[in-house]
Amino acid sequence: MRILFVVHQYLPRHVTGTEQYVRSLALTLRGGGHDVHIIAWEPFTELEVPDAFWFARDESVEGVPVHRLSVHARFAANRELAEYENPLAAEMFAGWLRSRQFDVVHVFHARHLGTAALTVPLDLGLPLVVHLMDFWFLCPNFLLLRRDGALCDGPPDGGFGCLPCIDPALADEVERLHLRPHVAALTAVPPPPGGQTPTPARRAHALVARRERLFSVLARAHAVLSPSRFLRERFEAQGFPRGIIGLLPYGLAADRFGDARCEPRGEARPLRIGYVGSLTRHKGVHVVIAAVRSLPPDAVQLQVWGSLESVPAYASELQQLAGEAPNIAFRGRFRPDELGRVLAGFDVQVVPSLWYENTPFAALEALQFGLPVVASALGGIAEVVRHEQNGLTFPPGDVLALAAILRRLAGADELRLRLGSRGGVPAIADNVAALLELYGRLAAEAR
Amino acid sequence: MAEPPAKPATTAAAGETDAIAALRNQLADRDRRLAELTEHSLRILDELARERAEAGDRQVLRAQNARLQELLADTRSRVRQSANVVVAAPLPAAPFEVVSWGVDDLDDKRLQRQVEACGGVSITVLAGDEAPGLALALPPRSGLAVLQQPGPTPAVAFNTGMAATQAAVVVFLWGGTRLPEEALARLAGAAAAEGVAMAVPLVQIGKQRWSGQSIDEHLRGARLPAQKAKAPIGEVPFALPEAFAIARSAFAATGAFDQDLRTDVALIEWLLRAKAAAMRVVVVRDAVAEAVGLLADRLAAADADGLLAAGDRLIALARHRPAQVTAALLASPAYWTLPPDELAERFAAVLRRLPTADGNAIAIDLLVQQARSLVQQAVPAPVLRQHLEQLERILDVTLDLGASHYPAALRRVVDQVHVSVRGAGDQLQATLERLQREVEAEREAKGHLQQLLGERQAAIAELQGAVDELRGEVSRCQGAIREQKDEIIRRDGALLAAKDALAATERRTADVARELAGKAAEITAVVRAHDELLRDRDDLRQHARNLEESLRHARAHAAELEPAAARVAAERDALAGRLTTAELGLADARRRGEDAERRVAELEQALAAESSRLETMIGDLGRYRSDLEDTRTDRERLAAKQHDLGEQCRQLDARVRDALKVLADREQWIVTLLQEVGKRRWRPRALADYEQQFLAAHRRQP
Repeated sequence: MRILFVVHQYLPRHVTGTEQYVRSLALTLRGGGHDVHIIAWEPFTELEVPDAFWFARDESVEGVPVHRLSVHARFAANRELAEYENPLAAEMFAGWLRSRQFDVVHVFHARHLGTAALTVPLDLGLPLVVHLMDFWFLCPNFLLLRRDGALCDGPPDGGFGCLPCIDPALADEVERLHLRPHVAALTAVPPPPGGQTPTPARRAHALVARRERLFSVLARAHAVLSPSRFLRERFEAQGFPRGIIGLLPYGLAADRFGDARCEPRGEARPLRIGYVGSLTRHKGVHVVIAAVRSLPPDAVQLQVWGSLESVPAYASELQQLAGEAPNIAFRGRFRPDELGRVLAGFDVQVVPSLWYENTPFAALEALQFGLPVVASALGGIAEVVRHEQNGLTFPPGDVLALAAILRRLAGADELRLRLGSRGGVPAIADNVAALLELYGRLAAEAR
Repeated sequence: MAEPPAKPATTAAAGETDAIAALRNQLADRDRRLAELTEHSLRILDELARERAEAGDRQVLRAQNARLQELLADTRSRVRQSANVVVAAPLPAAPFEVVSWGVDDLDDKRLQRQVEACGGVSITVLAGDEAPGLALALPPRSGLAVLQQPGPTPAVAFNTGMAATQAAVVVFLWGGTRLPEEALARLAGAAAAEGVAMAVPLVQIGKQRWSGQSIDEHLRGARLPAQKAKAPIGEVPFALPEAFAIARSAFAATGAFDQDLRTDVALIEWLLRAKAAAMRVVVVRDAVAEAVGLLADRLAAADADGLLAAGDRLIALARHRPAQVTAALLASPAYWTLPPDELAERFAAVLRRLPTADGNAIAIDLLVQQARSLVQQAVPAPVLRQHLEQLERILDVTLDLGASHYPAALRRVVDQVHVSVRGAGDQLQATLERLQREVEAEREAKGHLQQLLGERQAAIAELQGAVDELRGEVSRCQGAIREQKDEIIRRDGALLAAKDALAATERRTADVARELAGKAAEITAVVRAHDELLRDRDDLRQHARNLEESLRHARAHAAELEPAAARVAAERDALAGRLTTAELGLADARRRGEDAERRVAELEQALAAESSRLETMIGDLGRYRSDLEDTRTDRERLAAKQHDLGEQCRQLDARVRDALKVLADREQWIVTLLQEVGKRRWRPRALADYEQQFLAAHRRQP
């Protein structure tokens, strides 16, 4: 089959769980003889393409054809709108897609390309599968996490609650100019894609009408997949029609750890705790550092893996929090093929997230590797990490509870071994098989 | 995949029916119209936001304009009141205040009497360097302030006094002049009247009283003796500087005293300005100020040659009576008795203080040179004085002659000489002849002097011409001032026009606001239309989906039906049976579903009841816990008390045991004693009954 994957960014410059999952699927499908292409947005840098207002280029990443496109920020002046309605990007995507033949289009993330990632294939009569990798269709910052760190259930206050979360100055401006009732009256109407003038009314309208617009487009997809029940319930609780979103838990490639194996822990050795992921506040790295610092240094060791350059202010804050503790080490980034080596250095992995994780790949990888996972009892994590079965959970942000769990694990290796032996993660091959069945059925119906 | 996603594709195959195509076109058209309407609405909203933002800016500009106008008014006020004098707003609680000035040479007691005479009226004393000591010397009382103002001229004192006070009327008293409190009140009342520039009391020194002063054509003042009159308030030409009251409103209207004038001419100059504005000076005859001396005498002592006062008068004349400047200059003997260079220097100094001096430097230099040459050609008064002194020695008489009247006096001297020499001896004849020759020479000199006088008059005529030129220049300057005034008026007009424009802008704003309200209503209508369109669109989409779905099913069904109609017919019955079965199953399932829903409802009700019971139990449990806690606390308290009591019992038991032991010992001791009483050899006695009873009772005890 000729399959097109659409994603908001792709390897090798961008490495998050979404990119890794797309990579695994693409490589597995291509290994099965399918022709997979990827189209990805790339942040526009004038340094890279001087004197240009847009670019489109073809690359090959690990043998997978990748088509990248981007437009200058001047065509996305209304940031709140351009993030999901960008007419120039839509035109570029449509032009590129019309010149090619695909049997199915699978959208993993539509940010930047916006609704065009869905409407262009639909208008061309192509079967469309949409994967919900996070809460982007529901939340402008795709985290369901407010500016003050509080969890959010979805656009509050008829969408006006998103204004102070995204831009407090915009919220103040809308109130000062008394625009709210007029914008509220237009909530059900989609913003004109060409309305890129960043006026307060248009920016506010782009945020307030966002969910309605994205849900209406998403509902047109031929299949919508969610990796967790929690995410599906969030969408349905916010008004997305029930019965449309199907469930497809993430699968992982079996060979991604190389020769690395989970090593037994020596009795005299301190408990080796690992964190793998972005060093951002909503990931709650400060929680695990605070917990480790509250324990005797000779009882536990913490390794923090993740880029210190992504959010330097938070990384600096973490380093200050760690202080001179000899049992806390910041190890930086690692290559995807080094994952097995990294995980082999852990006795247990922590996922201390403070937001509704959809399905954290870090937890899945650890479970597949045979490590017990200590995670926040929150959102989609709780579906993956089951308390006292394949890991232990604690209330989000509760340093004392996490410290108590780590103390317990440090003193009971049999518990660690018992939890670590019950991973239960689907294989990527299972995902591919399910998707191929879906693709085939949709393609047949389209014909 | 736990729940395989299954959603039928809605993509229509090629060859759609015309109805579907029409519907799609209609849908696309409606979408386009909807987008247009939304864009239109957002444009209106953008305009609304812009207008509201600009309205906010307009408010800021309006506030800024108001601030600028305040600044403009304040600046005008400051310009009007020169010499940094700020006219403070009068306080309603203080109708008038007193300013005492010129107290540098005054003894402290005189000043104290002046302060006491003012009673409870606020008084501000302008003192020199001795102000700190003076403040200590004066008895403390409320409303008394001493300001340090070293050596002020009258104008500086008046301006400072106005700036240092806040009352509506200020009474100025010079050099310890006393004015009783009630007289101050009458004076202030008169000064506050409409059209009054100043109110003055009668000024008394000894038995002399003056009501004011008049001035001649050269602004020289002459005190006016007080006249008897029935009316308590009359009018006088000019005020005396020793005591007067000035209303702040009159001060604000007339402007500050000119501090360039260093003598009391400043008061006259100020009054000339006030009179030009049709204000008058009134005298309050039942207010008598007792003065120690006169300011004019003090100034004359400091200005022995009168040049300072003459210069001030020339300046004041140049402002108010420019035609009199030349005459006043010539009529000032002080100038014409000076040596040529000094006269030229002082003459130039006076001329350069004239208002238009800056623009007429060349004309002033010419005038100064002419004056110098004129004085050089005349016979100086000192020379004539030498001649007279020589004559005095010859005649052996004393001639008291004023320098300015020597020609007439000289004639009288000659006549006297003729009378005195008539009976003299021959030896005087020669002297007489010599004197006659000298007189003849004097006459020749006089002729020469007259000739010079003619020449000087010619020069004066030339000076007059130059002065006329100056006057013309002054007129031109006045014209320029008028033009500037016109410019100010024009700017005021422009300001008013700007205000009108602002008002018009506000009206336009109101119009725009009304228009925006209309547009808001339009938006609402558009939104309603949007809603209808949305509903239509959704209906149409649903309709289209239904049609597509029906079409697809129909096609599939037809495709199945056409090649195997017979088989389908056979299968139809089977299908019908299955359908019936399915319907029955569906009905059964529905019933089961309804039953399940009912059970769920019942369970929910039961759950609610259980929840309610649970809440009650939780509440009871809380109360039980509280009671239990209280009981536990009481029990612990009782246990503690019990423990204390047990301890006390044990202590008491011990004490009782001790007491019983002591008692037993005592009893045994008493028994022994009683037994010994009967057995002793000396003074034996029989035991009393109670002793025997005691002995019997305790003998039985072990």
